[in-house]
Amino acid sequence: MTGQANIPVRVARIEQITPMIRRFTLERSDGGTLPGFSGGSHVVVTMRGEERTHHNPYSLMGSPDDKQRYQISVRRDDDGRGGSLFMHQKVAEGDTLEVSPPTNLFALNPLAERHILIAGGIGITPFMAQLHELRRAGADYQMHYAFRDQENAAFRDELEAACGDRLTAYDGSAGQFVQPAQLLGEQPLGTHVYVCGPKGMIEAVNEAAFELGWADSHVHWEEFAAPPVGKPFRVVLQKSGMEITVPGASSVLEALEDAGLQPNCLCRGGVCGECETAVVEGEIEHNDHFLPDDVKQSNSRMMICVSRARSERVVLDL
Amino acid sequence: MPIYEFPEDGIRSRPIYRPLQPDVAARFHLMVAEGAGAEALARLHDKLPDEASCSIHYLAGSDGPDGSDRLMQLDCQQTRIHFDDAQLADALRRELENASMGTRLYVAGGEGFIWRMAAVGASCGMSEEEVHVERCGSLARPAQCVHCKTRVEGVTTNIYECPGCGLHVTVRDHFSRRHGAYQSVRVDAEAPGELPPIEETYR
Ligand code: FES
Repeated sequence: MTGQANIPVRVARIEQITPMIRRFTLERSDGGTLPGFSGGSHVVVTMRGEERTHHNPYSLMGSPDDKQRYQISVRRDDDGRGGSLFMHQKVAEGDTLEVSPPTNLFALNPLAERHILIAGGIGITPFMAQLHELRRAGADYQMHYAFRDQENAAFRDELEAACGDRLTAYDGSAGQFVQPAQLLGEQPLGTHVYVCGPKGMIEAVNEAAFELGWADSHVHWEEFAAPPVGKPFRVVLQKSGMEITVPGASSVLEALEDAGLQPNCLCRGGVCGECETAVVEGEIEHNDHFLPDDVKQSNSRMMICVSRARSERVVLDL
Repeated sequence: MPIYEFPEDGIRSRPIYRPLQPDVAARFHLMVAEGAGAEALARLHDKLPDEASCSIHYLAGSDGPDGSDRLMQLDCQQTRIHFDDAQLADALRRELENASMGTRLYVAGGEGFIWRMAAVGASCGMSEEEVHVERCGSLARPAQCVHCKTRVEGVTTNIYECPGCGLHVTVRDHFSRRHGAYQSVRVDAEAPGELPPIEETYR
């Protein structure tokens, strides 16, 4: 939790969108207004469970103009680390949660001549907020949305109403898939592409853009990869002399937070660089998209939000 | 890796230029030059992969040597010679409007020229990463008077009389990206009429 304090919010409404996805509408517990945000922002939701506290990032999907409420959607992940299950099973309307102030690591480029938005599954959420901005600006955009099947086509009606024929839907069960090379070929100068979805989709879009000679600054992606589950290990904090255990289903960051520390972090997904920490001793299994390969190999630094230890013990410069 | 930088040591923000290098990730290379910039394009062209597609626009008859013949010899999809700066900028704009993502723009020439052409690229949606520039030939500076905003191309002296407001102004090392010009400020504000020696600094 870098800097600003969390905001207590009340769950005003819960909607079952698909069998797997619920949308939560959150309002400030004290009735005040919420901080403004831009499309693509996320908040970190703190859920205080009985056994442990979860901190999960979720994209804000409501209108950036609405200061009364935030909306997030949570896809239930039965094999995950428990945060999404908590949201689905434990949270009821009227309950209280905490959210961080919004951060945007997936913003639209206001100078773009055209925006190509590509979403897979729950990856549609950041775009729902961005579409408000694009429509208000009268921007040139295309929305490409891929889902598993009709039953899992979350928000399809809302998207159709918002985008009209700028929306192209891809029903995987009908053999329809996004073809990145086709979408990105022959696009005019000043086009930007944004992709949010499963890893394979993000990689395919990045590869196609590279093949076609797109400059990196025109390719934007966001992956909400939850920190992987692994074996427990010990972390020694050299400066403070503390020693803690990182459970298999927690990240180092979460274990430190549970121990009452407040390490720097923003994205919790290994992309922003905020949580970079020097490693004094130990072997690291790197799961981030931030550190350069040679640094990863040297085991000298790690991103504590997603990476774990390969050794039984690591010593961090904290 | 940008080909130019703006060092920020105090008030100095003078771009540093390096020789043009091909961006091999690109699908289409659009090359533009004036005067002595022809040599820079020829060097750049030599470094392009054989199968690369490229197009050249050259402004002949500006200051410096005429490199038209040199460029016409290069193996290129299209090479066009222009005799007027505005005409070249128009042709460039038209080509960029029809170009696809995957294009890089390379510009070689005097400092005023390269930033005017870079601005055409930017106005067509190109980002800094997609535009590469190299200064060639004269060191003459495009300058803009901070008092009356009058712009002068090709200033070669440390001090000049601004044609807009008549003040004696000195060309500072501060380059404005947005205007593509160095900023000039009055020299004799404290003691009007007392001028330091005028020297030909930027030739
Ligand atoms: S919090 Fe962003 S990389 Fe770890």
